[in-house]
Amino acid sequence: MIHFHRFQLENGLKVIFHQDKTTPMAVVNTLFDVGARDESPSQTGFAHLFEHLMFGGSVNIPDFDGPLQRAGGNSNAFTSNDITNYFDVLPAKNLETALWLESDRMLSLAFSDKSLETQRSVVIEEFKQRYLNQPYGDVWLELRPLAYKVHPYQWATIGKDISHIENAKMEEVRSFFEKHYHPGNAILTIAGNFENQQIEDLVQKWYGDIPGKVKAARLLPQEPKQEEFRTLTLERDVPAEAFYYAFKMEERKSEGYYFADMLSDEVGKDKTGKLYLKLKKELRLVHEINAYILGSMDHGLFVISGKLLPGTTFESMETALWEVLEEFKTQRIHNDDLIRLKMKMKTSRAFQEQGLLNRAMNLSFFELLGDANGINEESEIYNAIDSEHLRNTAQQIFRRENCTRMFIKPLAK
Amino acid sequence: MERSHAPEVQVTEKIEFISPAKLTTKSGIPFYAMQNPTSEAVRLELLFHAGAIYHNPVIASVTAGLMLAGTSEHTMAEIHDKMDDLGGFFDSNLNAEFSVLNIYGLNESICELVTLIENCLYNASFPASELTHLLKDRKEKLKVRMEKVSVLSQRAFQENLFAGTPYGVISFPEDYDHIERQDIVDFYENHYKIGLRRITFVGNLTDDELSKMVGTFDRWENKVNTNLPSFPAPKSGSIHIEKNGAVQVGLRIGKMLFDRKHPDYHKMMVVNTILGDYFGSRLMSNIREDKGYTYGIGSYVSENLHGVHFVIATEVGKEFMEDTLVQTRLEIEKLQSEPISEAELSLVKNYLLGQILQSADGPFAMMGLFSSVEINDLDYAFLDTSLQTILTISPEEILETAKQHLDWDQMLIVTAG
Repeated sequence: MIHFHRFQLENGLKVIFHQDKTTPMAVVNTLFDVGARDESPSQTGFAHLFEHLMFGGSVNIPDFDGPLQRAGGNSNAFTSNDITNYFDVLPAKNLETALWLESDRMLSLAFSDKSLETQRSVVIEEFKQRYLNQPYGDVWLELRPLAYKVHPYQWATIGKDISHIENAKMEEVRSFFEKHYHPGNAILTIAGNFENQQIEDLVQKWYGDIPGKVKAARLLPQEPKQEEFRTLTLERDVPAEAFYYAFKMEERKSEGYYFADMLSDEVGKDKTGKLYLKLKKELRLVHEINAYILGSMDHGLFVISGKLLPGTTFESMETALWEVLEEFKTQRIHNDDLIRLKMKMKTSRAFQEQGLLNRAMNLSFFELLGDANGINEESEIYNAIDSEHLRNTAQQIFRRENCTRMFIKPLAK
Repeated sequence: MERSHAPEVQVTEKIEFISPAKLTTKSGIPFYAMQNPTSEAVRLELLFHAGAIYHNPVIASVTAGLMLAGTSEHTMAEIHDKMDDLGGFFDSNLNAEFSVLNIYGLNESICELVTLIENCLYNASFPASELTHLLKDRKEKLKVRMEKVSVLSQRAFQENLFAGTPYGVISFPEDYDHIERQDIVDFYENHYKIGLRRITFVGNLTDDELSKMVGTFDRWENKVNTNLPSFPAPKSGSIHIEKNGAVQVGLRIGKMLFDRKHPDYHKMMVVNTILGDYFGSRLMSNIREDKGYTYGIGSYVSENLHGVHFVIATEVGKEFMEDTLVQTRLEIEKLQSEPISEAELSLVKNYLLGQILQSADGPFAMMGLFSSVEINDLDYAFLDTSLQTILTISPEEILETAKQHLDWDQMLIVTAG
């Protein structure tokens, strides 16, 4: 059970406080309800570029990291297609330093030209490092637009075209901030050895005077139901053939999300799962095979991916793959296997809850889903799943017309 | 609201390092136990003298990969099903000197889980078919890894810095074609069964349960001869590895250093932090935050027991490689010629103290910290000295340490791209 105390400021800021009396550290986690899905198609990669700019100084404080480091802390952030999340970890007695820094950059940024120029360049190098200069690095840049025809999940957080970052202008960056960075669009979670009143007072002190704004309505184009098998084969300078099957699955807030999540654990199970045993062990078709979900807010993707062993073909792998998926659609998984999945989830949860930062991040995220207490209710949802749910889910998901397939072949030499 | 002035900062001056209880197996292998009363999460870690420097890195890594691949009584799938029944996870990782096996589970079933896994480890049978598969799979994975400039530069750096010693042996895809099952069995007999160096446990068991768990390992021994290789004269100079079509260059710059018992070790750790080991470091400030040449650059002191080295690592745009080298050299020379300002030094001190406080937060972190000193045959006095050095080090000492140990002419520079 993860306890928390929740309150809201008049300007709309939602605050979660999680008390942990055992730690000398504090975590300040700020989740902004903005991700790459909120970008305009002509300005992709902005949410992520913006995350970088948030470290380039705020309206009253020229440098973000320096003062935090001076207080013994460190900080980082990540951007997904759905959210942007910032976190600070520092000795609890210096909590106020983090609140001072975070509240000032929620108030307004410095918007310096130097910061924009440098971070533009850093993001371009990040793009090269992650997407261009790695084998299979550009897979998701190609797969997303094939799987999503209209929904903004069709571009990756780095952006669909690096020219959008190269051409980003200060006034565009400024208006992105105005629209998305304000108390009503944020969830602040504080964790550590403090008392409720102390946190309420400190948050009121540092965030109370930030002007509130109306949260902008999110009107995203809805992805129409996929009704045809989509496929693309690319040639790249890679050592082995790789395959990606991306199936549409239900959105984060639906029951079906949990079914798909558990199904992916069963399908992707290392050493004992059906895919592993058939394709990797028995038929020796692949040297690697995985199944996982992307965990998106809107309709997401259930992915099966892997790499072929030399001397095998996509055709033989594909035949075997669909045979295994057919088994998940027709046969119920054994009760022993269901119990094993739930036992492993229990262990995973115990380890996740070890970390103060993890707890703070998850509380913010569940609050975004509607209620921070979801963090305590999730295990019941998983425990209630039975083999019939999983079979039905397999039937809904593992259909050719629900699938986008990508093959990557080594360049002919 | 006065927003332009920072709230007052308090410095961490004292950190309490908690020692685990020490038990021993019949053959004298230490078993360290740390209580974790607030959680169900449990971890048992086994440390073997079975790293890549012994024999050859492929044999070491394949043996580690097959430790739970079967016994005469159970197949790999059966073992993993049983582990799953108990909510157990298992992972292994390998470094130059040690092989580390970790068992993760829940307090309620950890005793059963450890009994199961110990039994499978002690009776590992290395089935021929699992070996053949693993060799092929690992070979393909290595081919993929070798497409990365970060990997290419790291491999060449290791190969050249440690040339002529077991630390400098790297594996190639064709090596996986020449491994015999007997090599694996021999390595297992000589480095696992009689190579168990230490056991650590974080969980919440009674004394009785604990001593029973210790007894599980009574049949293991620690008799590996860990004689040091002698390291030849350090190598410096520049090496380039060509990689067609790369848009970034992998860069490694470094040299041999001294181990933790050297009187300058703690000072060197402060110098390393200033230069490249935190987000506000000189290298990050110059090469990322001022010039935008890279997504990240850092410097590190390796954690080996022997062959400890210092290295700067980054991936930079091809067109920025030359200037990155120039700027890196400038930053090192600046550390050697200009005393650090009070403002920067106090920031680094506070930062480091905060990081140590964080690395001692909670039983898992605390055990990690304990493990890192124990493996070097040190105790918490080492960490106390580290804290004292951080609190008292002067700009002159920093300048002198940088001068003495970061001579640019002694650096080995590897580029891949």
